[in-house]
Amino acid sequence: MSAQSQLYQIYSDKLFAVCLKYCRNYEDAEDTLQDSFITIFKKINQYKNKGSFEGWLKRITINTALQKYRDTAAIQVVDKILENKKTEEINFKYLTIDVNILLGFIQKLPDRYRMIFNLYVLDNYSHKEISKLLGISEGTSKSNLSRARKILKEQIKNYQATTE
Amino acid sequence: MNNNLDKLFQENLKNLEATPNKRVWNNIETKLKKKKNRLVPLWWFATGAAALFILGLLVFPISNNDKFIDKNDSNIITETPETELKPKQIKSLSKDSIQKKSILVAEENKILKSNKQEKKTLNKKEEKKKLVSTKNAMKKIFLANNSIKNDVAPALKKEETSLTKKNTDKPITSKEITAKVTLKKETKKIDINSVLEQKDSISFNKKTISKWSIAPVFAVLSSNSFSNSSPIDKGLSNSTIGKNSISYGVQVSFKLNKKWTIQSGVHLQEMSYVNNNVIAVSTISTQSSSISFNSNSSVTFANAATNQNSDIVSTSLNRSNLSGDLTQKYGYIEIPLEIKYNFLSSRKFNTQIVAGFSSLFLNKNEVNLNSQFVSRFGKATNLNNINFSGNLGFDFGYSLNKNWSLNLTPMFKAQLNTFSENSNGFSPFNIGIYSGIKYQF
Repeated sequence: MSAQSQLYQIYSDKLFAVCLKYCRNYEDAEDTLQDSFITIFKKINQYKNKGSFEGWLKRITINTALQKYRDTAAIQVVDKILENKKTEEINFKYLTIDVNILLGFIQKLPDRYRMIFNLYVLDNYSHKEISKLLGISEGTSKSNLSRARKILKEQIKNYQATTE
Repeated sequence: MNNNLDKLFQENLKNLEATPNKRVWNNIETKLKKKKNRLVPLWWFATGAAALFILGLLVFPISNNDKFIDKNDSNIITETPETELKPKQIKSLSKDSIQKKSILVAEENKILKSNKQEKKTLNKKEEKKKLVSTKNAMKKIFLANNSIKNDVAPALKKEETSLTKKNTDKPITSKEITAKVTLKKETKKIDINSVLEQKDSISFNKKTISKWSIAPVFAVLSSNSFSNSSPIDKGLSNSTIGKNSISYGVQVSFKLNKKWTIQSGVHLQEMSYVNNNVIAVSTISTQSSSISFNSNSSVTFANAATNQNSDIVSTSLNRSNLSGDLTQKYGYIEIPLEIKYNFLSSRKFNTQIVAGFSSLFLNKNEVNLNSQFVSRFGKATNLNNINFSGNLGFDFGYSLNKNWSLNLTPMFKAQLNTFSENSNGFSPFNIGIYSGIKYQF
C-alpha cells in the first residue's frame, strides 16, 4: 500500500488538475481522480516503459474523464443564440484573468465542447485523434471546437464587462 | 484571434496543479482493500475444488486396491516392510544433514523441511495401509464365498511396481513441491494482477461486471446405458429400460474473464432403471448375484418375455419363483467441476459450452422387485461408493436484468466408475435438461 500511496502523493496534484479541466465541477473531478487511480493501480504492470510514465498516467486520467461524459455528451443541446451573435474583439494581450476563473469557464462548457477544447488546445490532440476518442467525425470535432471558442470568448467578454 | 484565446488558456493552465481533498485517497484506499478481499474467495474456491478432486482420486484407488489385495495376503507382507524401511532411511538422511549443519546452514534447512514433509506423507501412507488392511479384514467376512479371480496376480504386480516407483520418486518430487509452493506464493500476487488486468480490459467499457453467480438448479434426467444389458443379472439383457428421474441442487460459478467461467455446486442426482416382466428364481449359489435382498435369499433373474435362458425358466417351474417388475434406483450427491466457454452472446442471450467432470457420492441404493402379490426390497452390492462422470453440454442463458437470468442447460453425463464388478457391460449415462434462475453479484 505504501508504494501506491507514494505514487498518489507524487502525481495526484498534476492529475487532479487534468480532472478539473475535463470535468464539469469539483465533485466530478474528485470522482474521476479516484476512478483514474484505481485504474492506474490495476493496470500498472501494463506500463511497458514506452513513453513517459506521467504521460501514461495522464492518458488514463483523460480517458476516465471522457468515459464519464461519453453518454451525456451526445445528448446535450447547446444554446443556439450564441451562433447568431457576433463576438466583439477582445484585447488578449493585456488580459490577466485568474486561473480559477478560466477553469470555471472551461467547466461551464457543454460536455463535448469542453472535452474537445481540452484535448485540442490544452493537450495537443489532433482532430483525427479526437474523432477516434469520442466516436465523432473530424468535421464535428472542428465545428464543436470553434463553438467552444466562441462560448469562451463570450464569457471572457462578459467577465471583463463586470470587472471594469 | 483564436491563437490569442488558445494562448491565454494554455499559458495559464499549463502548469496547473491542484491538491485534491484527502477523502479521495481514503476512498481509493478502501476500494483497493476491498478488491484484495474480494479476490480471496477465488483462491479458496480453486483450492477447494482441487482438494475435492484429490480427495476423490485418493479414495478411489483405495476402494479398488482392497478388492485385489484381500485375495492374496502374501503380497501385502512383501509390500509393507519396504515402506517401513523408508522412514528409517530418511531419518539417517536427516542425521547426515544435521552433521553438515556447520557447513551449509541455509541449504540444510531446506533439506530438513523436505525430509519432514516426506516423513509426514509416509506416515500418512502407513496409516492408510492400516486402514486398508482393516478394511480388508472386514471385506473378507463379507466376500468369503467369492471365487478368486484369475487376473488378480498380474494386477497386484503392477500395483507393487507402481507403489515402489512412487516411493523412489518421492524424495525428488517433494522437494520440487516445496520449491513450487514458495514459487507459487510469489506468483500468486502477479496472478492477481493479471486477473485484474483481464477484468479491467472489460470493465473499461462497462464499469461493473458481476463475477460470481449462484443458481438453484432443477433438472429432469433421462437415465440410459450404452448397452442394453442389466447390471443386476446376465439373464436380463435387452430388457433394461432407463426411466426419468430428477436432479436438483445449487450451482455456483465464477467468471474468469469475458470468455471463460468455472462452476461447481452440489446436486442430488437420481438414476432409475426398470426391467419389466421378470422372473426371479431362488438359487443356492451366491456367485452370480449382485444384489442382496433384505430377506437374505439370493436370486437369479430371467426375462419372462424372451425366454432365452430356457434352463432357468424350466428350473423355475420346480423351485419357488416370483414374477414382476424389477426396479433399480440409485442416487448420488454430485459435486461437479466444470468450465464454460462463451461462444455466442448478445445483449440478452448467452450461449456457452460446458465441459467438466463430477464426483459422485452414492447416497441411495435400492432394488425393488414388485410382483403381483409380494414386493421385495434389497440393494445392489456392486455399486461403487464413489463414482465419476464426464460432463458435456450447452448452456443457454437469457438475462432478465442486470442481476437475474434464466438458464437452460442440456447436459450429457457419462458415468465412469459406477460398478465395482460384474456389471455385465452396463455403462450408464444420463441426459438431463437443467434449468435454473441465476443471480449474479
